[in-house]
Amino acid sequence: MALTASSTIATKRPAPRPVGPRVIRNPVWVRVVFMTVALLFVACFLVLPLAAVFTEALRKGIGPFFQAFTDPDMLSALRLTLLTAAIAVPANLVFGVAAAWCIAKFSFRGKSLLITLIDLPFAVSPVISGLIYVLVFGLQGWLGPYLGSGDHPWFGEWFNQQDIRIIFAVPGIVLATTFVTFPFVARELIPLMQAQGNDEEYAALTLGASGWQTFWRVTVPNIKWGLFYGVILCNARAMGEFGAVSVVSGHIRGETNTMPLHIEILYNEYNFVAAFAVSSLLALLALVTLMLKSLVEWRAQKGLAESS
Amino acid sequence: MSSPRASRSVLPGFGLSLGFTLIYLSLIVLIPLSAAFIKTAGMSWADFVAAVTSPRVLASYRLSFGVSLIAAMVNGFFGLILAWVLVRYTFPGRRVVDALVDLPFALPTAVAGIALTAIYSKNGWAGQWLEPLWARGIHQLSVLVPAVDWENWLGGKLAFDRPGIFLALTFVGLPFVVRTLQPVLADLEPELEEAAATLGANRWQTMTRVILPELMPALITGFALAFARALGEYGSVVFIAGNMPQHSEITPLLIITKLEQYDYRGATAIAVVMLVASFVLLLLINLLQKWSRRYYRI
Amino acid sequence: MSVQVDNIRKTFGGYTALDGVSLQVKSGQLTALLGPSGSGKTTLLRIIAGLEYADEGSGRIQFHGEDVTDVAAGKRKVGFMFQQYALFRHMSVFENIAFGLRVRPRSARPAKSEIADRVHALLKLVQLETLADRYPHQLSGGQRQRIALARALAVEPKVLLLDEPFGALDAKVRKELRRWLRQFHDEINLTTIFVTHDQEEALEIADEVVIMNQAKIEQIGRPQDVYDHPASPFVYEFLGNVNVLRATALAAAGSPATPAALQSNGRVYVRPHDIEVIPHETGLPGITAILRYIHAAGPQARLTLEQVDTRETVEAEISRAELNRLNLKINDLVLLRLRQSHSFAEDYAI
Repeated sequence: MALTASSTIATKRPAPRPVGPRVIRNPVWVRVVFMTVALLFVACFLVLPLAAVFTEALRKGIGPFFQAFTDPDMLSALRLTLLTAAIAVPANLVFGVAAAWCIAKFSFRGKSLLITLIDLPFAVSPVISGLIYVLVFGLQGWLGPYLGSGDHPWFGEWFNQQDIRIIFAVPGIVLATTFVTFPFVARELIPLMQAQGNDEEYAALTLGASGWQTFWRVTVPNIKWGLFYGVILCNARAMGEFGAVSVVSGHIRGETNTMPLHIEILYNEYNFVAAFAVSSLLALLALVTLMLKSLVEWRAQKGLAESS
Repeated sequence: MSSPRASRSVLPGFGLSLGFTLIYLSLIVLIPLSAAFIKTAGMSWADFVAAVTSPRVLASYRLSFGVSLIAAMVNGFFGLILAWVLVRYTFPGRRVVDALVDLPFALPTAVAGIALTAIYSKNGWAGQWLEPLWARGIHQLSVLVPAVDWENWLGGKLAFDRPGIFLALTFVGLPFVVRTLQPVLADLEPELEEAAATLGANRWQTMTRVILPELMPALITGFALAFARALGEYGSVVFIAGNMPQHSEITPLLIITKLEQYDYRGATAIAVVMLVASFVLLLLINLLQKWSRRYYRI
Repeated sequence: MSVQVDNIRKTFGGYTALDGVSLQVKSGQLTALLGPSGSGKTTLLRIIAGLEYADEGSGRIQFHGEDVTDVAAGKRKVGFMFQQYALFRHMSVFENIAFGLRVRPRSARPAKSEIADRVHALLKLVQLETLADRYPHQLSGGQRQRIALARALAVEPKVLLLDEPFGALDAKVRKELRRWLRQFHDEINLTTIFVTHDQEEALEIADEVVIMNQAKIEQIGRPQDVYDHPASPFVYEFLGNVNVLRATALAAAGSPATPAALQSNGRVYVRPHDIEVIPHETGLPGITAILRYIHAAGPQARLTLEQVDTRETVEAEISRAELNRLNLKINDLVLLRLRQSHSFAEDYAI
């Protein structure tokens, strides 16, 4: 399993052991230097950018800040972002549960290869994630001639009539987003379900429960926090993805712009306040995500402490 | 024997879940990814080599790999200290700092890009102080060692030049080293340090000879993860890089530029080079993690 | 309900867990599957429960003459208790016990009030009436075990299967619950099979003991029978401490207890408490040995002795009173006589 840091709740330890007053420890000056360096690093790279987003957004006061949100293009970008996440996240959720079920509950050959393949999208540059969909669906691509160009005697005509476009349109944005957020739920659930084992499911079966009853009443309640954790991370990435979406979007204002793309347009038009205002909304989403993430981790640690 | 099922289980749903997993994986990931390779296979070898080794492309590789490497090393150094502080020290606000470490995962890259630009550009919060300092430093280096074109190598400005790329790539790679080191550090028995102390080692010897070797596999893994992420990063870089061809143009940006010029083959050829590099890195990281797991489980 | 297992085989990859095992369990009995880890006993239990499939083309499982080999676990009417209990951690004790009733199809599902009555009756049966609203993590190990038992009983199984029922408990609780389980079994009188690796446990509470080793059944019998008449050296060694002596040494010493030994493989098996220690001065026939060590902590004294002829070590167990009477000191010469010994016709590799 690779290409994200090991921040799954399954691998979280049951809280670091209490570091009591130990005799063997670094001298005070070392601790001071370490703390200073670490906190300065955090300040320069994490706190400062976050503060900059909100300050720049409010630079000209509350009025211009809120005005940014009345722009119809901005509202359409918001709608598209929500729509994209509303399709990509549930799709990857269903996939993640199915993948975790077969990988964690059964043994079969090729399992570790499958796990590696699931991780693959994390290893691919966002730009390339977009590019491959252009190759498949674009006018130059495999299915392109069948989708709307009219080159093909039968299908092209039909697709032309149906006016189906994928690249430089909403379906392409959804597909690219699904690709970049593909592994989140699965990689969260696989280690969690592996750690929990199969005994509770077996117990439910011996008690007469059907497969679905076992899944809904025993498995799902046991993985609900891991599920939630995977979904919030998946959602944050889905709403914030820039590179992949940028390649497939076509940048049509009011039609195929998501929020991150809208930020770019505003920024390039030197409309900094509006750009940062929209950014502040996404930064807020990031902060909420981090808060929920900490909450789930805290809960998971409590659960671990209780069950041990 | 050719079926993937190794042993019959009484739990239901294996066929359904595996079937769905494989179909979805193929449709979303494998078939689109293979498109890049198949498209490239249609090029002649000479065309392919020409597309991926033109001077502009080579310059972008050098820049992307070079700056990603430096950013990953800086993250390795500061990430080690940050992880140490978060695991070993208690201080007010520790939980907040710990949660903030994941910010680069959660904050959209475009937002990070414009925020970093706002801070480190000439008129920015920190840039107004740092940029003159940087310029003076570069100037003095040029006087001291005139043989090297320092301004070209290191960049004359912070934002809209090479240092900007470094800042953005450091930001996106920050969580990796910290998050891979934290669990290892938390599992490190204090008894190990105490044993070293009773054997007469001083603190410096304990840190460098006992603790650091224990952390090495995780540190290298975190470094490799940060490097891989930086290599593909696009969103945060384009706002702060300046994007000058052959000087501050990263490879992902070059792919987009080629796409916008309808040079699909050129773009795909470069993408294939990057994909191969990422897959090799992925393989190395998997091997590293396997190795480190064995290393810890004595 | 009786359980019949015919010629069951189970392999995992290249590893054979059960090698043609057959077994008959009589109705209403408490049967122990006893064996070291890896002997296949848990696999056998899981196959009886329907949690594991036997190898394709191997034998059948019958419950009361009815073939259940292809019947799903949930339809076999078995109650299964897992080693770690597998209580549903997100459900209260009440919900855990009620689960089996609540997942029944609507037509077969008891009314809510009836379910509640049943759960409370079961809680009373396992003497934990007050814990209905607790969650598994709030219970002690012994309580969890009894809740798991109540949950298994809620579906009114015809056979009760327990996988290492005392394995997760500490030594003291284990002994208490062992006796409780025996009484409990006598009360409900349900055909019960349990897996254990603890011979003391099996011998103490089971009506019948099935001793397994390396994917096969070594011996089946009542506790006293298998203890007194072990079918193989493995069974003999597994059921208690044992000394292995050379028959020739015994014969040379003119020991009276060697009739069967000489015609077998030349080895004689003796339990430490079947060795009588007498002073060397008596001059009676016996094996001459030197006393090397006395472990006197506990009700019995254990003596470590070295045979003078072969220099091999022998352990003997005598009462404290006997030890005092003999007034032995380290390095004293003594004579050993065997009250009872065993020898086996074939030479098993142990």
